[in-house]
Amino acid sequence: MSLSCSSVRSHLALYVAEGLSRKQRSAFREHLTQCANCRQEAAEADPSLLFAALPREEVSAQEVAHVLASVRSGIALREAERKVGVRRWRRLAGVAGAALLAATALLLPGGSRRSESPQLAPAAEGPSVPAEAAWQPAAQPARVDRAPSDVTIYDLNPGASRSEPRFVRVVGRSIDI
Amino acid sequence: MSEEKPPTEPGQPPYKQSMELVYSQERERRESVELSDRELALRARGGDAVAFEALVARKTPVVLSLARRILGDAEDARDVAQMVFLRIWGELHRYDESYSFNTWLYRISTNLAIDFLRSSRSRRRAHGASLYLVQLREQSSSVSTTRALEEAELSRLFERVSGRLTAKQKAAFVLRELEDCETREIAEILGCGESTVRNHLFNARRTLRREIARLYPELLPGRGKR
Repeated sequence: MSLSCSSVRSHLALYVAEGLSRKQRSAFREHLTQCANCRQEAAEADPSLLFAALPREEVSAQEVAHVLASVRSGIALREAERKVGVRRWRRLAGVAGAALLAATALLLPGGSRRSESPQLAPAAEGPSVPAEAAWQPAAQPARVDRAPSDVTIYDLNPGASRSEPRFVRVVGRSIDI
Repeated sequence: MSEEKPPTEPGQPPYKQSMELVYSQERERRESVELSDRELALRARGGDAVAFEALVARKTPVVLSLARRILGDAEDARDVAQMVFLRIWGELHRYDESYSFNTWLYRISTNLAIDFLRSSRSRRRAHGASLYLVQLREQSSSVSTTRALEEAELSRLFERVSGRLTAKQKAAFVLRELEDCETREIAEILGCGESTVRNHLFNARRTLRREIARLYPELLPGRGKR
């Protein structure tokens, strides 16, 4: 949609009063960026219309790359902080649990209590709750719904039927094509 | 790739066909160009790092441009852009796909830019920009019409005179004039009613008119000098 000079001039007041549609506003601005006479008339009518011809700031590819790099760094830092926080929390939880059990064992009187509550016996010897649970391999391999985004995967027998095993080779990102 | 199949030894996988590419990050990056913002956001929410980076690359120009206009400083705008995308990455689980991704992006960008603008550091830099514009005016021999203004000078003029606007007025004016947002969209972005947005725009124009007439009457053809 393009507007003529007379059309722009007759719509100046409507533009300022926010009375134009989005399409009309867009055409109005486009005309002002191209027509110096209309820009002048618009500025005389309302000085704030000087900025109707203000273009969007240009952003170079270098700036985009800079922002992307800074976002990557920010995400990596937050991930690292989160992992450190989780490990520290598990360690604290383990130590707190052990301390609680030891304190309970010390406060409770004699062996009779121990025989009544056999689960306290291990506490007397020391903390039985490990700081981190021992890793147990899964009974079946976990199903991966989404491929990891940092590798390339090649299927070595793509025509294999469902009953045949799949053989894949996972390579680093540097060998991506 | 050779079409000859390697000999099959006991215990080795049976080769039926040539090796087939199953997953490639580069291919996924190329395919992400065709996806919409909403689709990229949903993929990123599912943990797809390629989709998230594609979203960042696609939306950085919009965010930078908006932040620069509100803050009047390129370096502050880059800081805000980084904060915007880190916030999005951290809150993707809250993104409601029934709403436009752009509106959500604009809301986060505008709110962070407004917070930044209110900090004393941005005000100091804006003061520096205004000093530059004063020098520019003193050096020029005659400024009679807008024709004489380059787009960069017009940008600096806006940075100077918009210093009197409140953060919300400036954000509403930038979203309207430069990003071409509708009143309803601006209301969603700023978290206020449509009548409040119209008030912001009305007051912003009034303040800009007054500031231009006061500081740069020579820019207005037909008006006397100070």
